[in-house]
Amino acid sequence: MRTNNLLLLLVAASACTNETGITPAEVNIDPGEVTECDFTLMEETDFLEYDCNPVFQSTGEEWAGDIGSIGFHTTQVSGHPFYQMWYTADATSGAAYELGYAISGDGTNWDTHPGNPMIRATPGTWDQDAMDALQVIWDEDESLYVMTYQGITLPQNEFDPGQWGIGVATSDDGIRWGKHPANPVIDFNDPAVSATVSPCWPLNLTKRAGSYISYVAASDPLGGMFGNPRCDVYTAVGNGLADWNFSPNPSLQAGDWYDAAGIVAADVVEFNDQFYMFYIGFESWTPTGQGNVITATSPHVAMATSPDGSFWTKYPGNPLPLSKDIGTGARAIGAEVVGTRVHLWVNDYYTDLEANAVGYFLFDPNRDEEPVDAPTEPAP
Amino acid sequence: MHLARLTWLLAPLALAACPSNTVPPTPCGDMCDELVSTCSYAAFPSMDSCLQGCEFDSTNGRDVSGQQECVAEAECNTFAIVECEHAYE
Repeated sequence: MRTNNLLLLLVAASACTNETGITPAEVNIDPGEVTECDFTLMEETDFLEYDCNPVFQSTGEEWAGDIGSIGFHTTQVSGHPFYQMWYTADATSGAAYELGYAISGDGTNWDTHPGNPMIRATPGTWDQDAMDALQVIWDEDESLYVMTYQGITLPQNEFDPGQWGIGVATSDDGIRWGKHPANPVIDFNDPAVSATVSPCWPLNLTKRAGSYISYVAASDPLGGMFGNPRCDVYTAVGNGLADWNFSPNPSLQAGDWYDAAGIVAADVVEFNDQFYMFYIGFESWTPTGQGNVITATSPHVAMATSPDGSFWTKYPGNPLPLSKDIGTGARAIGAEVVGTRVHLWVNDYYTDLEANAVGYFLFDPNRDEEPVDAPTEPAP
Repeated sequence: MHLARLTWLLAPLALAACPSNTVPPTPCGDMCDELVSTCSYAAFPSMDSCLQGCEFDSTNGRDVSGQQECVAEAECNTFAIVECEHAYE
């Protein structure tokens, strides 16, 4: 009888592993489990495309016209990703641009913040005409969102250089943003900067070992003097947010056919014990007809890896089949690691929509050979 | 007979210890009930998935009780719930 009682007690005790009856374990959700459509493996690659792309074209908000630049971030709530997106849009108010904020629980359906827009262009300031190439991180040390962006005052004539630089904005909640008083924290017209590099635009912001690191598209100081510059990737290290120093040499050189003229956008993630840079290279420059302003054309999505984030090796299978390769189409890319996959968003031109929109992709080199939407095993 | 009586006594105890079909009255249970049942966020494929992630956070030192109170006060405001995660990381 004692044996039977012990057996019953053992059964009762082993019926659960803790108060909730759930074994604590790191969550690794298959994205296909929470999205309306599946993901399809792109032939002979480790990339999957969402079957119902694009996932974001316009917010439908009254204040916002066409979407411009987009910055992505992911915050995991109990191990489940909530995707955050900050975006500039042509403002119906007449302002040059305004900034909005949206969140998605599945990466495809987005809820816009009722308080949008968060930032509005201010005439007479250094970034009055554009706030472009957004990058947003959550700085755990400071409990702040930090955003870097390219600010522009367009030249008024061919003798006017305009104003070009990198600006910083911070927020403790992602909603109320304040621009840094030292903006532009990197002034492209500053001789001290142009003695080292000739910046094109910011590509990525991250923080490692207490230091801000920004990858910036730039050419050598003579790059723009004899023809158009080639925008390679240089590393700028921030001593705080207002004081930045460029590396003297590029950490990734453009120049292959798919990035012959440079790199227009990039995002960097730490994944599988190395760093991955997903970037958009472009083949050529095209005049905009606005003074001496030129714009990047014929873009292609590509990838590079690095053991430490300092110097990069291009993936031999570049370019990747993630862009439409049309005109000025692909112009922004976001990458976020969630579980064993990298989630990618590419802002590209969709001919059927006759507009730019955002496509959703996965990089899943750790996958089994099963389809990505196959049911996963329950947690042990 | 005696064994049968013990079984009658122990079986309800075992069931009460692990109510697998209901949300347990714990900080993780309360928070996941709010996130999954009340707010119906697509991010969570199931209640168990939410509980698994929450318990993992808890075993790694997160103040789940504080986060649960923050989530409850947010009343399904997704923007506020995301900041609860930052406030108690």
